[in-house]
Amino acid sequence: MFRPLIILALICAGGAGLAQDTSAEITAESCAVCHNDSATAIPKIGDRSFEELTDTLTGFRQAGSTVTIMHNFVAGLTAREIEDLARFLSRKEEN
Amino acid sequence: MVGYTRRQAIVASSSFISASLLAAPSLGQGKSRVVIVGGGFGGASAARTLRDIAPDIDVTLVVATETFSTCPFSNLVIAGEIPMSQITFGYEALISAGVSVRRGVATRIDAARNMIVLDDGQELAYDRAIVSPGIDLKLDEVPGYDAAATEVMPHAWKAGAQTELLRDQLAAMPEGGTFLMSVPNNPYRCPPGPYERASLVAHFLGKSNPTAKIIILDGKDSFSKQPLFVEGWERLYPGMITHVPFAENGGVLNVDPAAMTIETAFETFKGDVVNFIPPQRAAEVLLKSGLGGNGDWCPIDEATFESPHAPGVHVLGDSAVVGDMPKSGFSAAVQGANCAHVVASLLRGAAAERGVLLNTCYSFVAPDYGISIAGVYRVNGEGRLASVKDAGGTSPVGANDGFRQSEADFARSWYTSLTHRIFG
Repeated sequence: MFRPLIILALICAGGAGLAQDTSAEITAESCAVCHNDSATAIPKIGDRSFEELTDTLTGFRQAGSTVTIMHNFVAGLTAREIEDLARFLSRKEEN
Repeated sequence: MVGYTRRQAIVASSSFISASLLAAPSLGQGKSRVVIVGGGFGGASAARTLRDIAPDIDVTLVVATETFSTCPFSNLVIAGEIPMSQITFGYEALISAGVSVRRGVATRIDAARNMIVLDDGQELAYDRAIVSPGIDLKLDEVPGYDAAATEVMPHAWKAGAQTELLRDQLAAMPEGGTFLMSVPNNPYRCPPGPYERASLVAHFLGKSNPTAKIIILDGKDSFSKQPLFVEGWERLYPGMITHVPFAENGGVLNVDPAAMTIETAFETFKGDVVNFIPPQRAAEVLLKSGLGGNGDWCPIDEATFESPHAPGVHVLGDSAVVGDMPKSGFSAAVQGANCAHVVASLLRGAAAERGVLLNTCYSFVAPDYGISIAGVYRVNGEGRLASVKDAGGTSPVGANDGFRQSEADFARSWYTSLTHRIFG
């Protein structure tokens, strides 16, 4: 029951945010420190669409989540930052 | 993650580049030059990221040693769970990525001349410098704890020979003996590190020396992830670990390596093995070069990492006061990547963009029992890199064994990814 939630792990924020003007590309650097190696229990960010990334990140906001840290990250991001980050990460994987 | 050109690979194939090649060009000609001091998480991350995002910039990384042993996971080495080789990394991947890796120790940051001075007398010219040389231990601050004492009462707070010394002392500890630790007040490198160490030492002793005791003399009254550690200690090592907060020891007055004792304001403690973690400060080269102002740590512009005392020099990692971020390897890696973006922008004449910075840190209470803390940081209206309210926090107290096992699995994944990102 824990595993499927683990698989969702992605983070971060960015973009031309609301009150804070942050960059998705720079915020994504924090994500990449963990999510860069497919041989670990932490999923690599790759082959994910904008919609999947947005849903996953937004899903971490839901109460009752048993993820260990992702909900703590997403709580610090605005909806706009999550969207910008998902857009950046999904485009990045097209390259 | 890294794309590099054939030319860079050929240049890199000579491994460590000669100093004469690096010192040659002068400012204002050709490519911009960034010199990075420090081959740990901060410096190496900055170097790797710059190669990724700015092929138009020459990057030189000054490293003190041929290999880097990480403080993260060094407590597993002390507890005999993994060998030193598993936490030791070379710079081959960085060299392959096109970073000029230069062995040497920086002895002065000369911001007036845009020069890094090395211990062999060479000077490296830069357009912008990134410095992340880590901590120095404040030896002689506590009477009796000098350089010679570190060989008797190892600190093991810089991974390497000290880690192996403490591991060997622990393995040879007499039956029913006392493992005595001294932990400084904040700020110091890796806030939860001492308590993870006590945990893994307890795990080791539980198997081989179950009547042994661990005493932690603390320079503060509370510590990082305390409820999670204490819960784990009560569950896994009942009665073995005694934490003596500052309020109950009054502070360390002196140490006596010959007697293996630590005298506090209230009592003298004796250990069969003594792990003395002394107070710390930014690396000496930075303080000597004026980057600390009148303090022990380097203040920075928290949006750009640039030193107010040394224009053109960006400081990050454990040496710097990076807003609310803790002194951790993960923080340094994130800061290094962010600083690379800042420096690349500034060298192109653009404004530095901002992102959100994250930190996450796992600790082992046992090899199959993990706990974690996470933080989110952004520059606020006052220019401070502040912890975001209502975000971040620790994993829950009271979780079941499966959850703790999964956090231990995550801890290993976290370490693999972190080191792979930079050194792999």
